[in-house]
Amino acid sequence: MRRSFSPLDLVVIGLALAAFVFLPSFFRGEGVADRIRIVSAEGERIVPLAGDREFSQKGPLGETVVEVRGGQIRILSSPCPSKLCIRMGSISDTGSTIICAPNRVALRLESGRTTSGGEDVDAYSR
Amino acid sequence: MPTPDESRTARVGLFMALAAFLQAAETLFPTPVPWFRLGLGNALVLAALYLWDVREGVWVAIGKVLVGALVTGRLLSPGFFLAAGGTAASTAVMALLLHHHLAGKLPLGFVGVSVAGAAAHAFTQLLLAQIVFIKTPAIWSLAPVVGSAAVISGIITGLGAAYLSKVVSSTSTNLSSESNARL
Repeated sequence: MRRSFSPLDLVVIGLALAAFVFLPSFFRGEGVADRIRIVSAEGERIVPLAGDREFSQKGPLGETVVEVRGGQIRILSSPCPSKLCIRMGSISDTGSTIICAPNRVALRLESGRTTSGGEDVDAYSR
Repeated sequence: MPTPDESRTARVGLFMALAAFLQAAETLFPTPVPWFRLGLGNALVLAALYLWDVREGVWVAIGKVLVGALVTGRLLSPGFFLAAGGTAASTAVMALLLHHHLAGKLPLGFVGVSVAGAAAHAFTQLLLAQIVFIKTPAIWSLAPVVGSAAVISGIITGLGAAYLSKVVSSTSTNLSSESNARL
């Protein structure tokens, strides 16, 4: 009879957790972030990261409100049920992303000088 | 008395029904990615793979995805393709870990096999979500959340599969000795 739990299982659990924690960093780019790529059900647009302000992005569920302050962005309010996007907090690094999948809004910080990580976005969204 | 073949068929059918039930019940859970599933039905797939063979495991997996989608009315929806891809990947990984000749050298418990399957399930769903639904690599920023949820559900389904396998294999031996006695 196979055991329900063997010590080797801890290795599997550790490897799986590590893989999922490090997955996002494979999709990060280089350079200083200076613009925000907004991907939504309406399409894609790019806005500058400079200038403190708030803006909203419409999605199937309603308005997702984004705050831009000091080179960081975060989601202030969202109509989605889990509010996971708000709990993702602020981001400031190139290639880092806040996503609200239920409202189909994704915010990705990009650098104008380097396109690494940005090109695959274009390939899919064209 | 049913022959051993008949009782196996009946049990595989029962496993398919239970897996489909879990698959359908899971749609009531809120998850961060629409259509993402934890894969609790994998417990039945794993138990079938362990108790019988790859063929029976694949049947339970097909029943889980197809019947689960039929009763929730999600057949051929994007969620159906995510579930089908994720289940195919996790079934393949668990079958390899249980039945490949190299697997004998890896003394994994039910929990280890199940967590590996759950990780494959989650990874494939994220990959398919990126290709068919979100269309940006941004989806991967959810990987830590989705992955931890998958690992926890993998541990639960592994323990469930271990318990189920123990119960079913002990009742089968009772059944066969009983039928032998009557013959």
